[in-house]
Amino acid sequence: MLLSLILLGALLAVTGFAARTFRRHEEDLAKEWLRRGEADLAAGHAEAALDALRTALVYSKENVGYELRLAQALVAAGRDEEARAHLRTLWETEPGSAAVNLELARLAARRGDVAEAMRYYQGSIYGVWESDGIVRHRQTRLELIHFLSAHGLKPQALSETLTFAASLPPDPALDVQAGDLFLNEGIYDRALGEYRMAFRLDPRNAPALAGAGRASFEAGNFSEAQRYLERAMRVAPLDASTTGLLDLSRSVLSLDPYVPGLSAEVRSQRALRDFELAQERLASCTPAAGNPASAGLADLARRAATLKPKAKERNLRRDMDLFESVAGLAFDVETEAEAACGAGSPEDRALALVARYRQRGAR
Amino acid sequence: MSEDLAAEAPVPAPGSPLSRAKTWLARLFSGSLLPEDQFFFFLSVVIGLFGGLSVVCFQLTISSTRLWLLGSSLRPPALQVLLAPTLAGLVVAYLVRRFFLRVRGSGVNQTKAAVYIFDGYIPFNTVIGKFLTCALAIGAGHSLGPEDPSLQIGAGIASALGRRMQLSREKLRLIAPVGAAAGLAAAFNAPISAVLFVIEEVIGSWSVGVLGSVVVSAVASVTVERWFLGDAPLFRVPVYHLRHPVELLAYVVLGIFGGYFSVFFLKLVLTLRPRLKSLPDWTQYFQPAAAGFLIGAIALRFPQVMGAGYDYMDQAMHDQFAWHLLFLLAALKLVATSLSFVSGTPGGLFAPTLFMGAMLGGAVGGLEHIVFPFLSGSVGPYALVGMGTLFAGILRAPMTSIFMVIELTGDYSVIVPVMISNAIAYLISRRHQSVPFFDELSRQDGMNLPSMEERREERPLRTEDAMRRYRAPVLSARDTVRAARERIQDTGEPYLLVRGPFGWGGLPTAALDSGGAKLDEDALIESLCTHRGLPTLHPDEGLETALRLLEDRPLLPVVRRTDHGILQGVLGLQEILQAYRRDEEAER
Repeated sequence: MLLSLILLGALLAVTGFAARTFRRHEEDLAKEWLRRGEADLAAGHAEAALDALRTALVYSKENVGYELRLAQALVAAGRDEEARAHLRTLWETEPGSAAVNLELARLAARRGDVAEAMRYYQGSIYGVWESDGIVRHRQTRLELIHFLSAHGLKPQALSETLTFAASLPPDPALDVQAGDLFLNEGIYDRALGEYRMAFRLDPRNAPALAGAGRASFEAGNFSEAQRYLERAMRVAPLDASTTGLLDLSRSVLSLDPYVPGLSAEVRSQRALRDFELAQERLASCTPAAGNPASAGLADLARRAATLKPKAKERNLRRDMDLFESVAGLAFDVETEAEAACGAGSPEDRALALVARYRQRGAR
Repeated sequence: MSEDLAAEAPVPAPGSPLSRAKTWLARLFSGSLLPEDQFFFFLSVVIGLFGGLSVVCFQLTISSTRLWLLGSSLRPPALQVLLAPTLAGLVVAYLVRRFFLRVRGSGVNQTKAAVYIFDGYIPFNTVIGKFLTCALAIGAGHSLGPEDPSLQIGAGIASALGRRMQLSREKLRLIAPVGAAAGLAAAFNAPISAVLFVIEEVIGSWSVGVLGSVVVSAVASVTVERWFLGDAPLFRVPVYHLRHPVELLAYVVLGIFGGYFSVFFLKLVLTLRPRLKSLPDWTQYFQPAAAGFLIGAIALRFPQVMGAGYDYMDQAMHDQFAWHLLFLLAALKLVATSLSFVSGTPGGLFAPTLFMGAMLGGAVGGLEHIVFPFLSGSVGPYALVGMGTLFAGILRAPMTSIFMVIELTGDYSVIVPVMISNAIAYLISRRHQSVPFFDELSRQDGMNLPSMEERREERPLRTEDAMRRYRAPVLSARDTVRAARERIQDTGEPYLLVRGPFGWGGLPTAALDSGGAKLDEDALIESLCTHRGLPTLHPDEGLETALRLLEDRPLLPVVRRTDHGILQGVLGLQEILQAYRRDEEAER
């Protein structure tokens, strides 16, 4: 018996050594095959990548990371059902894995299964990442917000955006991101708040300044928009659409007869200019017969013809009612024409904007 | 000088604590300290540890051999795929023919033969031979598995330890199943299935004497195996939810497919094996190589058929093959496994059976999904159930087949489909192949080992099958001879039963006959009783018990379990013999 126990001890030692050595060798093989799989995946060789990743898994069976990589490769190869089956099995063993939930959410999103996608996105947001948890959770929430917005689920998207913004660290880039989201949702004051936070931390943050300009513009605060956009332009060149916005803001500010602090003379000049623009617009916009807008435009044309003889700078300065009628007619013409004929010249668009915000203000 | 040194060396005085400890240790290690039953139990733990360690080494050797011969890729280069199993076949055949004649086949029958024919004797060189040849064959890609060889390795180690410990003949006979359970448990990482299989296939009964040892050894073995190789189940289970009871019909279909597939495999192997064995002796050196070459040829296109194939079973369970590919793989594995096994290459059938089952199950599941799209989403559960189905159909161990699926996967959810499918496959297999696979193999090898399946189905004759009606009234011990004689008139009963303060007693009817001598007519019957305190029988007791109790008594009363005073019949030797005769005639 003693000899047997000594033999047992020796066998234990030999087996332990052999098992450790073999496991190390397997780990090396797994890493090597993973590397090959990644390389194949990067080179666009999906099938070879799948083979390599499957081989890696043979040598590292319980490695969730490898499993996940294989699932991602299956997705990349367009084998969604296989990937889904694979991920579902993984999910059964790791229901709290944020990465697994995220992959399942993406597959559901690709399939157009909104309910399942939302469930897995939430699972990912409240799940566990192996590293960089906070950053990845934020990225996942951002992805969810984009998904919700794309599917027209505005209230859910707004709710997620509010949570997203509430948990941000002091980081101008993240504030800009939050501002963009609010802007997208049409919550301009919150967007402006986020942009302001960003350029308070970094006064030369061009995207934040441009964003603030855009938010102010959308909110109808054109002078502020102009100010922010000009500041942004001084920091870095603006892209075409932002430059267009700046031009539009300038036009609005130069055409708006109601800007506070204008002298009676300038106000009258602007009203006259707007009236001229409106007449040109009436001349250029002739909707097809039968278009319901055509009758309205015809009526406006008649009113314009009636007002035209009286529309003189001097009269407008003296007669406030006439001033209101001329400016009001210009606004009505631009609004109707935009609805009937689409956007006109930059000045027409600016005037239409003034009309929209003045009408909103009047209401 | 040396004598002086020896004289100076400290010698423990007789009766000193040191001396007593030495004696105690010597007795402990020689096994004489404990009664044999307790020592056997203790030895089972040691056997389990040895079994577990050996199987870990065996698994590592197989994996290393595979890496060495075929490389680490799942799709090895063509030349290696063709050459490795062919050359390994040559080497294995040479080793088997020259050095290890007893290592042919799976190992289950050899272990049974050790228990029933050789008093538990398995030569140790069989253990070495099995280890080397199986590791080489399986590692090189022969379509065989490591489980049944592990069973034989465990049994061989146990046998060697038992001999070394000079166990009695009875214990030596029991020690091989203990080792077998250890080997199988470690190979499968499934102690319950190992215990069940050894009981179902090797021992054949739930013998209390060995059950504890089998369990302990399996647990010790699995503990060692998990320590070194990890405790993850062999397969990751697909999610399974029964959507509607109608879905169970799909598993009925799987059971039917599995049953006929099993029958086909059994017939193929059992037909080809004796034919190949009957070929000239020199061909035996080349049969494993030829089989290896053909398997290599298949593997050029379908490398999945090589070796045990557990990784591919896992993939099948996760929808990673189309149904027609799964079906093709099941068919090709059938061919490859048949080739390997009938060529005499040592290796097991458990893993290939599971492989074929997984592939067939997946294929049937996939096909059913096309025909009936309302069935549940994944084919994974079908692959899982298919494994158990073929295990039941081919290896004919129904209980093991059910528990094995649960244990290999660590999941209970699929139990109902497994039971349905396994039962159907088992019944179909029995219908078309009356003699179980392992029994038929042993018959082909000229051994008539007891069939565990037949033994399981033997219905023991009971007292109720043999007892007859008692024709006379039961006498009271206080009855007089006269009264008794009146009561028993014309009953024709040769032996009279008496109830008295002693319980049941009896006397021959002839004792009431005066026979010319003067009998006191007013004497009490009690005084004439030749038997007092007769043992009683119950209708459900076996005839073996009845025979033991009967001894030289002509009759025994059969009474109710709830009231020993109520007679239900009587049983004598004549009735027992008649019952056995009737049973024999009915069987014929």
